Order: sequence, then structure tokens, then C-alpha cells
Amino acid sequence: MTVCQEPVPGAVPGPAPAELEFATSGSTGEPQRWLRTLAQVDAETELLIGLCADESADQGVDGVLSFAPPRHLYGHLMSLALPRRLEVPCLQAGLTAPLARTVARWRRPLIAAVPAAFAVLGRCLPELAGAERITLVHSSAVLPPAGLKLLADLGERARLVELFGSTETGLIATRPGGTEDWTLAADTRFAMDSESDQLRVSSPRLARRPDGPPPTATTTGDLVTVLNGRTFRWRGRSNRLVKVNGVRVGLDRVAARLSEAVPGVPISCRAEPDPLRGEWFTVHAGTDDPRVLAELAAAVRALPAAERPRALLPLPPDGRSR
Amino acid sequence: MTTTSGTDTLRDPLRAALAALLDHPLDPADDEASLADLAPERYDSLGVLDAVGLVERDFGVSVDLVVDDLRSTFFSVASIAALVDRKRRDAAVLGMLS
Repeated sequence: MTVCQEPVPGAVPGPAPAELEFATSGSTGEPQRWLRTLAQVDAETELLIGLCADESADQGVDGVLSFAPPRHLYGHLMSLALPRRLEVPCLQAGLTAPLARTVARWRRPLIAAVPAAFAVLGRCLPELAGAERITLVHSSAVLPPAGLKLLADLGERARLVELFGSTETGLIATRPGGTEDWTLAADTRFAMDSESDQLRVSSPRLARRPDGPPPTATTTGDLVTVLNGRTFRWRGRSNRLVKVNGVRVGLDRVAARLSEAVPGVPISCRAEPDPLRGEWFTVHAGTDDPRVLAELAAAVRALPAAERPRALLPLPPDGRSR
Repeated sequence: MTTTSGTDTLRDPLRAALAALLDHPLDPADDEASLADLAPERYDSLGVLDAVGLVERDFGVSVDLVVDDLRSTFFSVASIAALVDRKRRDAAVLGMLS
């Protein structure tokens, strides 16, 4: 996804852009542009401050360490909008770069994590030893076991805030780390038929496509059980989608691309948990022909980086993957 | 580049393990080359962390993400072998002193 901080074509030029553009990468379909007004971004920033950095609730922060790329909505909010609103410094962290000394000097850091960040942070406890209070934030992906372990290792001075949302919807719901049920954001409502278990929400922060107004409601592709008017339990996805370190990958799309490259071979993509990425997947090919497998391996290597599987495996004769 | 016998011994099993991890053949002639250049499709930041886990599990050393600058130590087969060799020698010395 990319962020365009320049005026959107057609918008009135001015000192500040009227809207920000976030584009899906195309790993789940054709790339799509989504536009958000600055008022929507500001409203979401205020919601996040209330959840993660509320000074009046003694949850203020003195710096933000962000593992989330600012070209994504989550990264933009946590790396740019929230620090700017709070007037605190932000450091952009890399998974393989050591934590800067600055972080060790912060007393109340907020850490915007991606799934793989928890394994990294778990190895950097001495750098976080001086912090009085640590707010960990995680967004819209399966929390890897390292997340809860880090929370336990950091003890009572740490708390985890999980965010549920997407590029299209923005923040939908939140929950304290380690709990099961999600509570809708203050300005968000369920918009589902009573019989449906597909999450559908309305809020004033839904993004719009360039060729139309914001939708009144959006269906997310998540299967949920609504517990009451404000809470739900997530049961899975209605589509064949995994989030590899938080990046959406459509498994059917990957299988289709490989089938197009090497026709005539049954291809199956199977999701699996990954301790680093949260989720990953394996491609199973219905052949044990070394020549065909070599062709498929070349096709796998040609996939975009975000869509590459953990492994390519031949299906055993019984057709069941091991 | 001159190598020690320790890293020479380590390179073969390390190269094989990394080749399996990255699903990419690795040639001894490329031991000094950047793994990110040899296997760009897999050796991104997540791939480096996968390699750290592999080295710790299969080669019995502990990698410090802060002290052991991964950008240099996990650059190539040769640099990883040198790191493992150094850590093993350090551990041996510490074992002798304890």
C-alpha cells in the first residue's frame, strides 16, 4: 500500500491535501485506491489516542517506536499522525536493526508492532528495562505467541492494545491484549442482517474509492458472532486470505497465478501458523514429477515477495498434505 | 579473504541449512556474497530473522539482536560462519574460566 500526501487528482489544490490515498498492493486482487479525508484521519487519530495514549487516564506516552511502514494506514496513523498530534518523537524501527539508544531513554514508550516485531522485542528486554510503562499496539493480524510472551516478560508495566480494522474501514474494534472479544470503536456500528455472520459495519471513517462517495457500510470478509450491540467474537474469514506479518495475501489468487504459470497441475495453498509472521502458507502441488516441480519452484520465485509461501511441497499419493 | 579452520568447518553445514531455509541453492564460491543478492526473494528482514532462529537452533549459539549487528553478521554464509565460530570460541573460553 502506498500513501500519497499530494493532492488527489480532481481535488482543489491548497496548502494541505484534502485527502490521503492508500492503495492496496494487489495481493488479494487488482490494486485499488482508497481515499480518506484529513478529517477522517484526524478522527481516527483521536480514537487511537484515547485507546493507547490517554494522558488523562495516566496512559500518556513520551515517544513512539513504530515497526509499521507509514505507507500503510496503520503505519501512517501510528508513525506520523499520532506522534504529531501528541508532539512526541517517533522512531521508525526495522526488524533487523538494533533499537536506538533513544528508545532506552523513553520512560513511557508506545510501540506500534507488526507480528514479527514481538519476536524482536522479546530479545531486546534490556533496552526496555528503564521504561516505567510500555504500551504495545498490534493491528489486524493473528497475534503470534511471542506477543503474549513479551507481555508476560514485561510484567505489569506493559499493556497490549489490539486493533481490528482495514485499509477500507479504518479502525473497527479493539480489545485489551489476551482477551477474546472485540468492542466496536465509539463511532462504529454493526450493519449486518440479523441472520448474517459476515461482519458489516458503518462508521464516519469508511474510505471511499476515487470514483464515488464513501459507502454507508462495508462488509469485511470476517466471520463473527455478535455478542451484543457493541461486541463480537471473531471466528475466522469467509474468504481464503492470510495475513503474513500483517500483509494480506489471497491464497486463491496465489494458486491461480501458479496454475497459470504451470497449467494442468492441481495446486492447493494451505494456511498455517508461523511463530514469526503470525500466519504463513504452504503450496502443495499434485505431482511428484521433478521437472514440473522445478517449473513450479521457478513460478513461486517469480511471485511478488509478499506472496511467497513458506515452501512448495508435492502432494503425497493419498492427496493429503503432511 | 583468509578464513580460519573453524569457519571452514562450519561453512558446509551452514550453507546447506541456509539453502534449505531459503529454498535456494548456494554455491561455496558465493560464500562471501550477499545472501540478499543471492536469494532476494527470501532473504528480506523476515528471512534474516528466520536465519537467526536456524543458527540458534542448529548451531547452538545465541544471537543478540542488539550487539550482533545483523546487517553485517548475517550478510553472507562466511559472515554467519564467522559469527558462529566466534561465539563458540567465546563460550569455550567462558567455560574454561567458570
